[in-house]
Amino acid sequence: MNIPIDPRYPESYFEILARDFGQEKADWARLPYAERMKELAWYHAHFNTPDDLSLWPAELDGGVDRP
Amino acid sequence: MSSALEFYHLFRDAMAEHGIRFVLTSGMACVEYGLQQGTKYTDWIVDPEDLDKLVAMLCEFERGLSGKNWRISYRNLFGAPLDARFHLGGWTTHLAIWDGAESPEHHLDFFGRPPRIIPGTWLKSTGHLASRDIVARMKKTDRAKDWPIVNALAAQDWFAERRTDSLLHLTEIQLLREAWGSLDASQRRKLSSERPLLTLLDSQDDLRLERSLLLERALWENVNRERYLIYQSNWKSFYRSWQQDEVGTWPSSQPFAVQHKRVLEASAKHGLTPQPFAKESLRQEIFERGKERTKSLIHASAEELQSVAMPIDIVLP
Repeated sequence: MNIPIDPRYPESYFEILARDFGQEKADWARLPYAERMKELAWYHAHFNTPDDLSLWPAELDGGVDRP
Repeated sequence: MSSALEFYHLFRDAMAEHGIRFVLTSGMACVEYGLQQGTKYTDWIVDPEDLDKLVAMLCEFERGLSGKNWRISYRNLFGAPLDARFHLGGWTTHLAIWDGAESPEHHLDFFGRPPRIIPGTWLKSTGHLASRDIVARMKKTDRAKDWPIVNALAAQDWFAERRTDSLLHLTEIQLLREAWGSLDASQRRKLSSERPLLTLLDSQDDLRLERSLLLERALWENVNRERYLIYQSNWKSFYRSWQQDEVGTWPSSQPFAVQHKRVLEASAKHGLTPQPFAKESLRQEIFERGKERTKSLIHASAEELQSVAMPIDIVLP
C-alpha cells in the first residue's frame, strides 16, 4: 500500500481547502497522516456519516437526488 | 468485529493476499490523500479478470468453521452481479459485510470498468491506492460536492509534484494560468487534445474563463447523467421482470454464495444487459444528448460548447 507521504503544500493549497470544504477540514488536512487517521477513527466511532444514512452509495456515478 | 477503518485495511490486505488486482478509489482514497470525506464505506476498482477470485474469497470468508464466519450480502441497490461480463460493460456491484456478531454494516462498492477511466489505465496506480488522476476522473460526476474534490486532488498533484496531468482537472483559474505558463508547446498540445478548454487560457479573461469552466463542468455532468440513465432504466426493467416472476425479498438472507448464483441466473433469465454500451451508436447518442442538454441549461452557443467539449473517448471511454 502506498500510503501517501505527506507532501509539503504551500499556504495557498490550504486556503483552497478552507474555502471549499471549511476551516475544520483544512486544519485536519495539515495533520500528519497517522494523526489524521486517528482523528477520523474517533469521528467514525461517535457519529453517523452521510453514507450510514443513505440507501444510495455516494459514488454510484453521481446523482443530485442521491446524497 | 472491526471499525470502518480497520475493516478497510483488513479487506485490502485480504484481496492482496488472494492475488486480486485492485485499487482503492473515491471517498476513502480521498481520505488517504488528506481530503476528509464523511465516509465509512470503500470503493474498489478490481480487474474484471480477477472477479472470480474475489467471489471465491468472499465465499471462503463466509464459511463458519474453515472461514472467517462473515456475513456477506448483496445490497438492495441497482447494480449487477459480481461477474466479469457485467463489469466489463461498466456495471457496478454493491455489497454489505458484517465481520462479527456486533459488527457495523460495512458497505463496499466494486467497479470493474469505472466511468470516465480508459480501461486498464488504473493499473498504473502504484500500490493499492488509485492515483489522484484516476480518482479525479471518477469524481467528475453530476454531484456538486464532488467538484471541489476534483480541483483539490489536481492542486495536490501540481503543488506536490508539478504533474502536468493536473491541468486536466484543475478549476482554479490562477493556478491553471501559472501551470499552463510553465509548459512547452508539445505539452500544451497533448493536454489540450484531452481538455480543449486549456487553449482558452491565453485568450480569455478571468470572467470569461469562469464561464468556460462552468460550461465544461456542465457537459461532464450532463453526459454522466445520460450515461447513468441507461444503466438505471436497464436495471429497473430487469428488476420489475424478476419481481413479477419470483424475487420476493431482495437481497435475501441466504448466504452470499447462494445470492450470487441466484442473481446471476435471474440476470440471464430477466434480461439484465451485460454491456449496455455495446453499440457505438448509443455512445454517440449519449454524448450528443449530454451536449444538447448542456446547451439548453447553460444557454450556450454551439461554438461556445465546441470550444470546451472534450473528445468522446475521454468522457465516455
